[in-house]
Amino acid sequence: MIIEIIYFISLIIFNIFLSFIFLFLFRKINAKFQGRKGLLLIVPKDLRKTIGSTKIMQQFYDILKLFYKQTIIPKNSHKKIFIISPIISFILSIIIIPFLYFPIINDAQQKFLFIPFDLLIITYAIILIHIFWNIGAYASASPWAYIGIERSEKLNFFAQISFISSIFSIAILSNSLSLKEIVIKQDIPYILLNPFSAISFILFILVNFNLKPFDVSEIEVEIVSGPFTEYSGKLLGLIELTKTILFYINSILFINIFLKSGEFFSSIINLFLLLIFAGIFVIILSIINNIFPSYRIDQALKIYPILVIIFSSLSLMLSFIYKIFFG
Amino acid sequence: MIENSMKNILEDLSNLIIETHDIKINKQLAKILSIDKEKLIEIAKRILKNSNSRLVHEIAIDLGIDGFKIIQLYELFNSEGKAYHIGIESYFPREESKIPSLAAITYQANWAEREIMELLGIEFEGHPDKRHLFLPYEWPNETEAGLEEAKKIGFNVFPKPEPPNILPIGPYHPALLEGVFLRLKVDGETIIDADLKPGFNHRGIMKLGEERSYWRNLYLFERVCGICSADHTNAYVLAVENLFNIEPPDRAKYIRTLGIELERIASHLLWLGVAADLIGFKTFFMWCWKEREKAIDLLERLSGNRVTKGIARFGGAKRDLGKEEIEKMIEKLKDIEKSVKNLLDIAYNNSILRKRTEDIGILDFQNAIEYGAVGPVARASNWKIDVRHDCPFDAYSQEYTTWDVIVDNGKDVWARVIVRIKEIFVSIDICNQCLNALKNIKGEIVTSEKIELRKGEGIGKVEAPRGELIYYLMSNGEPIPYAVRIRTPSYRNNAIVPFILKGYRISDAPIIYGSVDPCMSCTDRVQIIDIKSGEKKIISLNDLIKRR
Repeated sequence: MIIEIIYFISLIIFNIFLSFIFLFLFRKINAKFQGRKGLLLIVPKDLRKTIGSTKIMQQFYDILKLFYKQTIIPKNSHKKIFIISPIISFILSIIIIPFLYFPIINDAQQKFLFIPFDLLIITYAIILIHIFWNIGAYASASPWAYIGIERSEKLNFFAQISFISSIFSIAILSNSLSLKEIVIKQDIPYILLNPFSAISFILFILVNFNLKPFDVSEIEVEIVSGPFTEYSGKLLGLIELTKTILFYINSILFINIFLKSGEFFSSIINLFLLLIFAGIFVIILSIINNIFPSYRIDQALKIYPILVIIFSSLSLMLSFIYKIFFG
Repeated sequence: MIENSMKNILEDLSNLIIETHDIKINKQLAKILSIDKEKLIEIAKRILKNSNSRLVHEIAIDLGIDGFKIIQLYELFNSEGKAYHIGIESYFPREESKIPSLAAITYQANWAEREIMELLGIEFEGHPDKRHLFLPYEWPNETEAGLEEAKKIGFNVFPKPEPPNILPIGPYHPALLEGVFLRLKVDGETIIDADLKPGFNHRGIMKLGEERSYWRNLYLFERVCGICSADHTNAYVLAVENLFNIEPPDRAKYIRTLGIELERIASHLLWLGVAADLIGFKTFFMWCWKEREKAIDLLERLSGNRVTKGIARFGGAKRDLGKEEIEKMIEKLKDIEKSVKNLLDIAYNNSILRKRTEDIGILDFQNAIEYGAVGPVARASNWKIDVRHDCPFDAYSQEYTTWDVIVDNGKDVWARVIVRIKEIFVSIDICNQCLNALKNIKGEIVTSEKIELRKGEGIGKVEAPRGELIYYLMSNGEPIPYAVRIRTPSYRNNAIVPFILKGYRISDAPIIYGSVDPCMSCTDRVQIIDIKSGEKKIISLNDLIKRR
């Protein structure tokens, strides 16, 4: 029992560490695309004494810094909800981690993965995180937050349709709601069998992580930081940590579902393949983020639903066709 | 042509004029008409009745025991688009410091009169908006600050405590990197009303200028704005040259022009980047600033400095250019032209960028004239107004360089983007012409004439990247100017912002406000004076240290 607990704690910590590295990669690619240097992987010798030998964990320190700062709670806010919501979101994001499929699995994790409907748990947990963020923001009583929530909810309504239809078309394709079964049953990677489903998933990620061109709900030049305007100190740190973990979870989930979790060769290489694929996925997201300016909210609300309806219906139709003709 | 129209106006007003004298503005002479203060409005109405006339600035000067002097400077255009100036001045004693307001007739005088009310204590009767411009609105109390009067007239005064449909943007906000307070009254996402409050960055530069010699001021006015410092020194130097009748040699004129145009390239690229950032296009922002670096490098080659260039000197320029340097600069300009073409391609082909900027922040041709737009904002509303063309200075007149004024009929933010990008190409062309001319022209870069101090007034006028920039100097024969007045382009364009924001969405607010290229360091350059006691205090550095 103790060993299992230690295993899970170390699994979560390792994954959080990996999530920081993924964000480092995201920021680095952003910088390269914009003609900047970005965070330094290897610091030049003359600077090492002052800033350390690598900046790979800069994202971690950025968040750690927030935990040392004062947490200001607005006077007009509903204090309990304002404080509790980010905490619940963080717990939810931690809960998802053990459900993710890694090529090297301990027996303890097997128990989690044998829950026959773990994909549903992951889906609802990801959606709930966002809902709790918005509830907390609503309690903050800030005009910027109100506008942010309004925008975020309008877009998330369609983003969630996109996400759920993407997940379910894969569930239909593989005839299972268990992530492990989906991975094992993939003879051909599902990204080749049903590319529309993958596009639907990416559409969801664009809105959920405020990537351009759909970053309207948190765009800082317009509405400061949208729902999170009033958050500061430890609570903001918690939100940032949740965002980092969620970004990682989504990248890994994408590879799990669509690229067979990297299980193409023997087991040790597979873990690296999984991370490499996830890294490439992050790079693609970063490029999408960099080649577009952001839409105005009314423009986003015209274009995004159309994209969602087209790709999610296509992905569901394709899955049904496979189901009917190939069993 | 100009003389005819001027004669007509002078004949029209002849029975009201007490006396006339001239002020030199760039290469022209402006007629200044002295009149009785009661007739200010009547004459203003007659001049503004002309369809192609505008108010340049309203200046008030404290003459000590002699009272106050007020000057209203108008600009009129003939059919060729060349400008000529008429000024109206009036003297009145300290005890009767109430004069009729020009802002009641034209919005162009609104900010200028609010500033004068705040700084000199002159009261403008019938001014529609007597709120403070630079001090906090409610200081020292609502009655003295003119808030109650403003409420009676029905002018939009935002109540306190603020209802939730008012969105505060600034003084600290991610969209505005400079200190300004923009309040938006919204209905859902639509802006119903807007109010702009400057005054968070006072430095008292105009007052400082009245306490230093002409030479020391050269370094002071360079620091009004970091982005267009060469324009500020150039305008000041022109004002001094006009005041003391000095003419710089041709070679110096080309060097000064080169400085101004290179600065325009750098400033427009900077703006293009900021505008891209305001619609969330960080990549384009970084690319623009990368190109801007090349223009800054050229300025460094020209003047030796990157920010405070110090190119202009009285009767000449500071530093000469060698032949090798000229060749290198021509090569680098080709490089800039190529990369700006790339940026133009990206801007034209990016559909989202166009969607975000088209049909928002519309400023009609009529409104542009009525509210007093200047620079690229006016030119994007199809108003061909450019100091370089209307009232040429340095090497801008036809005998030196040939070029066209860029105008666009779009009236929206996209038109302002296009006007600025095209102006970069025009600037590159002018730079090339200047460099080629510098190869052939030989001679001194500073005139051998000596400055002879005399009483009088002089006005320097240049086209800064943001629009028309004016320096007014008044001398009483001493080596320190008696009065300095600066009218920066952002001062005018910022005043328009509340009008062009109405009816659009919150998402558009940053880019619409950004489209006028707001420069708060230009707008807030005035000293605060204690109105209650009517005294101005000079606080020494030691006092400040003690207080802390």
